[in-house]
Amino acid sequence: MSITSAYFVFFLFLLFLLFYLCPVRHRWLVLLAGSVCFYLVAGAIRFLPFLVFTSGVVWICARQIGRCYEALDEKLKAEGLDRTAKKALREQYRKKARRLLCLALILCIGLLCVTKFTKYAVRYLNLAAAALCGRAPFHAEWVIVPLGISYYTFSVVGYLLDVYWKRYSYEPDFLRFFLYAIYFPHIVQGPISRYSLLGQELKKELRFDSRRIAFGMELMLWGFFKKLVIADRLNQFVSAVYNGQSQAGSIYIVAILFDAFQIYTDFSGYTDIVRGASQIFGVELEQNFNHPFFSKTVPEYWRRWHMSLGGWFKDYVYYPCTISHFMKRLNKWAKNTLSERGSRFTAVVFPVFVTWVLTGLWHGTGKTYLCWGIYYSTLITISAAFQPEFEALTKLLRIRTETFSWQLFRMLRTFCCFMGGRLLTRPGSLFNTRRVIWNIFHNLCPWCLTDGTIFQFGLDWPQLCLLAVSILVLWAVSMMQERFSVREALERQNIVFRWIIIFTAIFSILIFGIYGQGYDASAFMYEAF
Amino acid sequence: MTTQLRKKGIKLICFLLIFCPLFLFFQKLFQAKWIANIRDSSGLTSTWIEYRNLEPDTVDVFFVGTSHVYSAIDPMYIYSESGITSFALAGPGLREDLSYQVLKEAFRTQSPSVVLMDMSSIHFSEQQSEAKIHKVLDQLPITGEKINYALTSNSQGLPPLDALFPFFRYHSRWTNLRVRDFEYASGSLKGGFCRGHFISYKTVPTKYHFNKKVDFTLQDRDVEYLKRIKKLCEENGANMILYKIPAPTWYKSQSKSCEKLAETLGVPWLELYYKRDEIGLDPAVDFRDKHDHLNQNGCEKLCRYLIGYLEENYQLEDQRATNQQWNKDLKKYLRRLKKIKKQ
Repeated sequence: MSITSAYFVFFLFLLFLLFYLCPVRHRWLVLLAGSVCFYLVAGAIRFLPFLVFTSGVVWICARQIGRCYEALDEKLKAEGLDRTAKKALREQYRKKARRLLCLALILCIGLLCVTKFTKYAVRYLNLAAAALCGRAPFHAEWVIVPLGISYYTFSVVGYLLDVYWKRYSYEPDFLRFFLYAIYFPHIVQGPISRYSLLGQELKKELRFDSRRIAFGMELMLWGFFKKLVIADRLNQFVSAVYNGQSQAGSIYIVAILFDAFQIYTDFSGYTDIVRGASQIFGVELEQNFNHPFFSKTVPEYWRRWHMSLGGWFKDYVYYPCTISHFMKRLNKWAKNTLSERGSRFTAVVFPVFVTWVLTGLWHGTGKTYLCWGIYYSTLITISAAFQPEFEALTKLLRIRTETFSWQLFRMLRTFCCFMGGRLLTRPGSLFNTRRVIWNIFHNLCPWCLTDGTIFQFGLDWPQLCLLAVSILVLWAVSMMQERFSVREALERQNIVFRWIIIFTAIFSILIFGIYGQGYDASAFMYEAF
Repeated sequence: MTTQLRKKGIKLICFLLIFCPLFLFFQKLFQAKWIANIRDSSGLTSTWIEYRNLEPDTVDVFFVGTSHVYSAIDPMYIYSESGITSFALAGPGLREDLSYQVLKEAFRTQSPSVVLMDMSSIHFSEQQSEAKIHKVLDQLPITGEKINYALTSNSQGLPPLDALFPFFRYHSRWTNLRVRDFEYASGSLKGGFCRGHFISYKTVPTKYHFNKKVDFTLQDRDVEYLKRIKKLCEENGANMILYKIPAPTWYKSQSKSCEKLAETLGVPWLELYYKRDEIGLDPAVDFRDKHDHLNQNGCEKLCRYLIGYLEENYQLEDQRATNQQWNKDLKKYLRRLKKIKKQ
């Protein structure tokens, strides 16, 4: 059941009725039942044990860790221990907690790695075996990748680490915790919600609020517009070009540009749909996008794009990395032996590299994603390490940094960096990436844009015009969203105007959306991760 | 709180009152249409507009079936020769399940004495093409029967939602909308006057394969729906007849199966293949294509025979002196016939 299908809308309607007909205190159980049904229909029954296992392991270990801390607190309070004894006691309990943490991490991350990397590993083992003994003895057909495993594993591991770091207390009720893990709006493609936010949202009294429900529906409409009208239309062109139907560099340039908009509208469209759906039930999900194409630097871009993943890596990988014993020793060594800039560079390069390589591997297992991680870590390291030089150069060139033109240039520069990253992964392999780049430089064929060739990739003239208008609407709405809440502004308008906007949105999606029989609409791009 | 809730309830109702007509307008605008013209072999959309424009209870005979029916049966010819009013309720590859839907809708405004079911459809495989189903189904309003059909239409490769709301299938037609689409959506499009018949004077010589040995068994679904059609006819006081328009691709085994079925249903079986010489059909000049469709010459020969059969077996009124609407349409029809013949 795709969330852009009529079945999802029907499911949502049914769940809505059941949810609000149920007494307030039992509503979370309706959400739990609905989420399980959704997961079974959207995925398969064989995926469920993986989810139960991961959330079960994390819940048990987090509870044990929490109890361990409670026992420690009681002992510290109860007995008149001296400082050394207290320290020893703390160390003893911390060791116990660490053992539990390691056990849970090994089981959960191990399961994630097995499901995600086995096929890749088997391919290389077979290549090696074929080179040595002439046959490929290993098979990976048995490996399945449960729906949303990357997302729910990260969500629950985040919770485990937060309990371990005493950021908040453990959840005593497994069903409540299981609802947090399986909650249907975020299970397939995120956002990777924090327990401190989503867990608490799911615990509050979920009452009927027509204003919030209307807001949720409006957000869903906007998400459907982005996904069905823009992303899936762009997909027709981009897929046709990358499936080898073009050799012209100019067509590839258009495809790269379209691909950037496609992935943004696809993923942010999805996020808006699920956030809107969640709002209907009174549960706020984290924001995942904050108009990343308005970013002026690459680090800013990644603070605005897939924010929940970026936040997760920052909190659970980057920061722990910067304060690790290894980094402390490395920084100390760099301070003593290198120049000031050298030591600053050393402090940045390792955590950034680790974070981005892991981010790349989270997205995919091939070499392309490894290169993607290295690409971003290099960009971010360079921008951090050479910031003084860049500032000096700007002064030297007498650039007025407060002007609109300079800000626009920075936005375009960041957008180009993003397209560069997409160019590494979208063509499917590094060989294809090389082919695309080669064609851009050796076979540009600019007249392909004017002689009608461009219409051979699934989009004719009216479709391209519609696309241009839709992207203009996207830009205009994004500009408004940067300044104020569009939904609140719409709410303040007269009902006639409001309904004109809403009906226009509904029928634009119904008429111009890419869906239904005859179309093989693309699945959500981030579903694959 | 109650006042607020009431206000919200009224708003919701108003919203739906605007949404539903708008949706239905767009559905009519975007749905694929088959408007009769000289080149179009299946003007089903205009045929149904024409059918709905007929005065109630003026049609005495229904001819139901596939494209063979709209090629071989010319209700206006039958009317001009005998005064019997009839209508060809046919569609390309129309299967029995859809014929049932069509008849159910047709009986709402007309009460014919005779319903002739052509058995050509038993040729086709169980899986019907999606476009052919849409051609017929989209002309019918949403009823309980249609919903029932839609719920089982997945097996025919047609999603239930698309079966009920063709908008979801044809929304992408926005790039090729024509004036006629707007005329149809606004209800200003006029129907035809051929009573479901398609006129063609083309000739493609062919030959019969009747004696070729072919294994054949009637499909359960077809039998089931023919039983329902029989019941429906009985409920509406109509006599059901099974018949087969002579066609080159028709085998003895199929004929025997139909004969047996007619016996089971307790209805007459009219195997016109055996009457082909009596009718005067000549495979060298009376067919218009390789799909066994009769041309206008063959059609007129067949209609003459059917007039005789109907007059002999059923007391059908000659309406030529009284039916103004049919007389007016007949004039238009004859003009059209002349024009096509000249071409």
